Amino acid sequence: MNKRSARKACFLLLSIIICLYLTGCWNYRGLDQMNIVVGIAVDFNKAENLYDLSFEVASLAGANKESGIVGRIINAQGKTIFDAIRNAKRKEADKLFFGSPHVLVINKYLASEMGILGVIDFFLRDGEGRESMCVAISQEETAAIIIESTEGAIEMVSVNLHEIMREEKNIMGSAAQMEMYKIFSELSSKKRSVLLPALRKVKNGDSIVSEANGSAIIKEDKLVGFLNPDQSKYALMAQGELKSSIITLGLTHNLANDISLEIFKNKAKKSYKIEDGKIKVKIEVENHVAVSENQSFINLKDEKEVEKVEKAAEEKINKNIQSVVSTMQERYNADVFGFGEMIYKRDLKFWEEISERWDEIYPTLEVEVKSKVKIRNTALIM
Amino acid sequence: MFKFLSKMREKKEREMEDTFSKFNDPFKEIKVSTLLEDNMDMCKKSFSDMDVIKFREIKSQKEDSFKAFIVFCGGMVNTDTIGTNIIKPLISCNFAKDNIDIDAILKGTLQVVDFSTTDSFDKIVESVMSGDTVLFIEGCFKAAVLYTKEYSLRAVEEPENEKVIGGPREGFNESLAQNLTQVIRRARTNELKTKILTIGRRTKTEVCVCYFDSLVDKDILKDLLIRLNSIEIDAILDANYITELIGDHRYSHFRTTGYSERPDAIVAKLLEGRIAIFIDGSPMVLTIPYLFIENFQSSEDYYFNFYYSTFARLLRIAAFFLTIMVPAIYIATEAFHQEMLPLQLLIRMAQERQSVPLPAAIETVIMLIVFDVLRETGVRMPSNIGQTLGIVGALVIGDAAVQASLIAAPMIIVVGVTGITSLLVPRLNSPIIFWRFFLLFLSATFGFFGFTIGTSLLFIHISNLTSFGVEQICLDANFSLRNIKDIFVRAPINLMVNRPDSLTSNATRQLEENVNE
Repeated sequence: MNKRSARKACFLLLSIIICLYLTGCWNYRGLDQMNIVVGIAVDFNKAENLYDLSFEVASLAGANKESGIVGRIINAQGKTIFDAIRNAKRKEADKLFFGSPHVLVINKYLASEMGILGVIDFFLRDGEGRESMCVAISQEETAAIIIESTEGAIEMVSVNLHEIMREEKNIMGSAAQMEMYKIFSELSSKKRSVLLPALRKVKNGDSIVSEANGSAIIKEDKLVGFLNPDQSKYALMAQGELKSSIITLGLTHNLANDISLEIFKNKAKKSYKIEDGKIKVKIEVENHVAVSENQSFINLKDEKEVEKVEKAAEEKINKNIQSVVSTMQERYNADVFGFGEMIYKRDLKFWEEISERWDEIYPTLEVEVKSKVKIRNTALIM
Repeated sequence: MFKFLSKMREKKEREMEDTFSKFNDPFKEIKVSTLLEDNMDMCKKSFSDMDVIKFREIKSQKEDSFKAFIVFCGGMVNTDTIGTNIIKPLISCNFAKDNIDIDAILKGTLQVVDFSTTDSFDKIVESVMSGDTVLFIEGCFKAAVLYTKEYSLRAVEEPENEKVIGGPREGFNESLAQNLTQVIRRARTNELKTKILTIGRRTKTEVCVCYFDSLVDKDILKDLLIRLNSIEIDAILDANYITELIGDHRYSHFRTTGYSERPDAIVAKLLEGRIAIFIDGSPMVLTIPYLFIENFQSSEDYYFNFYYSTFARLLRIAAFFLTIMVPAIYIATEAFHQEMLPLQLLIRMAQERQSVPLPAAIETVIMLIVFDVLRETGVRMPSNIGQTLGIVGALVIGDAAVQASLIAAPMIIVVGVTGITSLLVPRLNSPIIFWRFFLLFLSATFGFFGFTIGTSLLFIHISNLTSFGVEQICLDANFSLRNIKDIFVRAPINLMVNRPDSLTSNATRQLEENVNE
């Protein structure tokens, strides 16, 4: 390394480091002069034609060190989202700080009629905004109710919801959490549709809490429908994005399911070929599972029995994925599996030919699902 | 700016030279006379109003014409030696006045271990003041300087500043001779050269340049001697006088000479081809050239297992960066880049900051100064009121200020980390203070942007440092495995077969030569 190249390397390094910091704010603003926003709910008031925003901010004043910090809600109305945010300042001494919001909940009517890209646009443009916050659709009448804290809560609702949505992918796979910047790039390309987590309020013990309840289907930035948790799971599985989940089988009697399989590895491959002018899509799903519950007295030491279980699981997965795919094709006409993108990547010319008519082609695609289940571990005790 | 300062300095030096030449040494040109009376008068005049100077006239019992007198400084001489080895033989001698041979007397009659002759009063005054006894004899045009030095010294103790758990405990004291002895005892070879110079117009301080003839880089040695000889100052009271006068970058915060109070450390440096400068009256021995990494090295590194030493060294390097950067990073994240903090941390910090009155930047400056006040007090204060300081520091300033919501709790942690880590690298005290506040200022004005600019300036400055023409941090050409064996890691001793290239004329350690033979 001679001096010249060392100098060049240093210069490059310095430029890169400085780039990181130039994204921040330019003025001195202490932590005591801000309201830390952790969650945002966006509703639209049709009667007055105003956005109705609710912010959950960390409530620092009353909290002491021992108890957890809870959130409090700030409401604001405005002609646009930014307008509403500035209006919120009228009620508060400190400015809202958008450096670490965790969730953005969007009203379902707003999402289905006006679309979600318009809402997230502000947060993507804003210098402060954290673009990795996750976006969810409220299944309730308003979005605000989702981030409202229940009595006796010990932590902030939004932070909790964020955790729930993030973990969901790893534990049950019934909702697909997606960061804001990803939504933007997915929706702005190739006629793609995405799945976003759907939230609702349920009774839990004495209180009413928010829970993740399947997914919302967003087609070209508009909400078209919801999937229940089970359907969401198979939708994710078809894309190979499942981190972990559970499949239950009923093999010996019909009263209840008696075998639980824990998926710990999920791979999916999709391909297509053109036969007789028709596009045939093939989804190959491979799951590695462990038997985690067996009430059926099937002898898992016997290879044939194990194969039987595998077969049954494969069938169930095939059936369910097929059903989700056809729901997507026929009922919603939403390309959540990215078939269009697959064609675009493989054969650009062909895609350009068909992309105009993609909405008509997509429901007629022949989709073949082939799944494979491997029991890797029977967790046998003896 | 530095150019401007160095011009100022040059101007000052010229002025100083002028004043020095006006200050006329009255004894410089005067020679010893053959008449004892004259010499006596001259001595009395030279040492007028100096009651510590003793004169003793001597007459021979056997030869009346033999007359002599000695002059010495009370308290600095061994009176037994003077009595039995100088006065007694002279009294019983039988030289005639017209037949005096001073050399014969010195060689045959007197029983002192070291002597010399001189005819210059300048030299005589200096010798007396340094504890020697000067003998004048009637009829001689030369005076004899006899070695009779003896004065009380601090015992050899473990140095307070460089305490170790393993390894030798001896430290230098204030005597040049004893310090040299300690080094020579550890390197018993005639390759070890010691050159003594006298610096300081009034203090006449002995300064000894010590090096291994076969290892030293002759150019560096020449450079050092030129710099030492060009020192024009009236007093050298401590090693730091020399450091500031011969350093490469006089106005930098960083050192350009090393120092140690430990003879083992000095020998190790000498064996790497460095040159040591002993200053009489100072327990600090300087070494040149100085590499930046020496700030982080401790002699203990070589007395412990190399895994532990490597860890300790990395810790010290990290501590240097922590101690100058932590307050700046705190301010930058607190006031500019809050989005860099994870939510839980952000909320906790915000919560702490809710009720405190001052902005974080001002709070930081105040607390850092308070810490330095406490530290400085701790150093100067009699040790028996140390507990009071602890209570005042920990309880009053730390706990009470937080309880009363005057200072935010994270601030105490930041100051604590900053303070403790600064103690890990005592050699970098002065740069730490300056750069810490400099980075803090930049951070408080421009956030991380300013911090990055400040850090870059720091690195540019460090990489520009030289010590006697040797680059303190070598970023180019010589970057190879053999040169970094003693930088971030302390390699096992059997693998360290080379000396640092930049310091020595003979880069191969003895170890490998033996292997080759």
